Amino acid sequence: MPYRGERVNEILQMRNIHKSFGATQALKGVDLDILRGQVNAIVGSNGAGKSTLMKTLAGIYRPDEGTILFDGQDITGFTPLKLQELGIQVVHQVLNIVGSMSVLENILLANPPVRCGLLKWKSGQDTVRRILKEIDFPLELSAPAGSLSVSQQQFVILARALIHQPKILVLDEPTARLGMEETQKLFALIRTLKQRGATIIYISHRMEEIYTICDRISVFRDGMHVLSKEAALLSEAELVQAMLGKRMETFFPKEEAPIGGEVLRIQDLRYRDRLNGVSLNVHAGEIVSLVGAVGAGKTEILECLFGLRQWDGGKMTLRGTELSRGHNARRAIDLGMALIPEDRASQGMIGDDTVRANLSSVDMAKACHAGVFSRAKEDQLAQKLVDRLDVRPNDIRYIMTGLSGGNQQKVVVGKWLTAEYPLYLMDEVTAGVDIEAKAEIYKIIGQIAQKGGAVLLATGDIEEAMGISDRIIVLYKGRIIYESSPAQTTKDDLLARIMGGGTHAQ
Amino acid sequence: MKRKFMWEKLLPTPQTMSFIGLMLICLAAFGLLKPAYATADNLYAIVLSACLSAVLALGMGVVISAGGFDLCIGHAAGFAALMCGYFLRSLGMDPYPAMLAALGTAVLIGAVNGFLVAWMGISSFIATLGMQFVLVGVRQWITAGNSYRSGNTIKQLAQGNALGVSNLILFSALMLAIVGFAMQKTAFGRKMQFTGSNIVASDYIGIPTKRYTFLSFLLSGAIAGIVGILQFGKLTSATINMGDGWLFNAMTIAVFSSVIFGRFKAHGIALVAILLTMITTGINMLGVSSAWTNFVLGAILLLSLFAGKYLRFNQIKVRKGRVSHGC
Repeated sequence: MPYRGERVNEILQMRNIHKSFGATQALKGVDLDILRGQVNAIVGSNGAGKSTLMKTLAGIYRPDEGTILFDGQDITGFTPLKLQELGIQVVHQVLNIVGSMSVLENILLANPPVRCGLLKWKSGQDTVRRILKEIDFPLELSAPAGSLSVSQQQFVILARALIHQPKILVLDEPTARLGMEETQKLFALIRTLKQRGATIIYISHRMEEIYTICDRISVFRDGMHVLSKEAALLSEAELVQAMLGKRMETFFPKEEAPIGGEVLRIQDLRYRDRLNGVSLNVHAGEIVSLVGAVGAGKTEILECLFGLRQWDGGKMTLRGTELSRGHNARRAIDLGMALIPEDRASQGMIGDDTVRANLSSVDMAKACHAGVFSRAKEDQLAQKLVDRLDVRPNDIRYIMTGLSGGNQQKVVVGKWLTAEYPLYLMDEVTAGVDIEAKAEIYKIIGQIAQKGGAVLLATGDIEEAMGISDRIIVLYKGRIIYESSPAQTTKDDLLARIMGGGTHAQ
Repeated sequence: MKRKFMWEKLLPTPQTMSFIGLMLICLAAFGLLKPAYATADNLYAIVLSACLSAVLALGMGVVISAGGFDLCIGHAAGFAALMCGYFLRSLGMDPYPAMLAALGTAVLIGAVNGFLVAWMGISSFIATLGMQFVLVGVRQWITAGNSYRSGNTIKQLAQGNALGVSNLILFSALMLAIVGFAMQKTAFGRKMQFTGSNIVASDYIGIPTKRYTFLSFLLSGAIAGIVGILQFGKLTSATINMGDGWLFNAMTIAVFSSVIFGRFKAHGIALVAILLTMITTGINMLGVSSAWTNFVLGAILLLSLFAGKYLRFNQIKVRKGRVSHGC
């Protein structure tokens, strides 16, 4: 090790970090100190900039402006490999596992043992065994990593990071895929690492974990670092307040709609370990929001309903018809469901096709004469929707990928407006959408409800849930833990509950 | 705006225009070097020899637009020809039942491919490459090295004329028109293309993507069968190596066409087939080594792939061009 100067208390100092992607500013001048030998929590809602900051730290993104000091050394713009050599290891949210390679090879992947230019996996065996023993997680070294469960894979990735004896270990939502027992193992490991003087950066949505394991909490909001405090001195209520801040009120054009009869009833829905007995119902003209952290089970409920996942148990009834287990998307649509999926680009649209073709893609019969497309009918159908949704540019021949995110989303929603479906399932329908398009989409949701459609809206955006829904349901680890009307709850209370804390309000 | 659409419709697309320009340049260049090239007879011969390649490329184009590749399409066609001969000569069947049985064999090959890709989840490259080797093995085993003569009925079918135009050209034009219509104008074709463009998003709007993947291979099998039988009649005999090398042509044409014309276009396939035949015929007539033909075709394939990146990038910005299905 070279001479390290005075041992400052801050192992990492980030100064005025800016990062933009196109027109969106992900980080707006972040100043953050990470304290040596502590477990530093970073919390914030989706899109607050946590992951962007960690990717900047890992060298994946280069900041537009600002400096990062590691032990007093300027490391801004270093490559990921260089940063790893310096002792900064980031365990990302995504499981980057090579399924066809063995556990041993996966763990040694970043720096495979080489002798005379040849790979010698075996020579790394002892180190890997030692590390696995340390984290108290025995794994068969020769097993292909693809055959492991996701929680085992998570530990493989953890072991990969530990091989390098990191000085700073960043864990991005490490417990999202872990069970109780495994979470305890992870915590024990974090404590051991801390004793040895390593610094941990811990990103999580779960209140109990943050308060159990972390020494210090830093809160992010809208690309800015708003608060850092010792965990013992920061109350849950204060934390939630800092995460929400005083944001601009978005305009929610909620139309009054009479609530009718029951459209959907779900009883005791179970899906793997992701949904543990969910029961809910939605009525005609009602907008119900499902809120919860990433991995709470929102998307799973919608995709089970739509026949995209095989559920394991429970009963679902749509307007008196029970959904069968061999259910698929086609039948779901025929029964009267519409789904706007979470990931617009990969699930929601045919990107290399026109706005027109996308708008007519669900209800092709409406653009056809006896199975043959009629240019006039299709143009008319598409033009009507483009005008109604105010898609810009107002040209149905435009290729989807050339539109802005907001306008793409209008088209993705628009293709379900050719008919009035009794039940609309929407998954993060305004994620990554500009404010104008958002207002347009809220207007459409309001109109759907007014005409007697039922809407089940999965969202991570609390303002949205408070603004447009008649009822809010909070999911936590695959269970419904709270239900309320927006009038009878507060944003603070909801957020606390989403994070598994909170009984303080009300 | 409406009025503008009206007369715009009468013009061919910019792609078609530039393509016809390319053909004229080719004609002028070879015509100057070799006057016999630019005669009506020679051009008719070029179209005649291009038409079956175009139909085979049509089958490949269907599979490509549904998101796969059919590497055994050439051998499936050759196999159908051989089987037709086998049914005729070894089993003594009448010509029409023999043709029907051969067509059935080709459809069966397509069905197996489709099953492997759609329901077994095997990559279409691997499944059809495997099928190609199976066919090469099986044909050896069934025919025991024999070649078969087509007999008059099948020969007449392929070599006859109607209204002064060769049956081959008429059949091919008919096939291009039918498949082109189905792929470009119907809901069936649209769903097939959606499956190829984004299979996940297609699942999410209720398109039975597995069924469409399967159907694309079934269709390419049927097309291969028809091409094989017509080739049988055209060549008047089926030999053991029937179908070797047909894949390359079909692939070049299909890929070139989908790159230039954006997506499945029957007229694009026809134009590309004719242009490529114009080039190879021209090279042959100049008496240059045949190595040049392969070089030029390979270079065209690679260049068209290269150009594809650039063109598709540009298309996103095109607002006034015609950038959709079936113009």
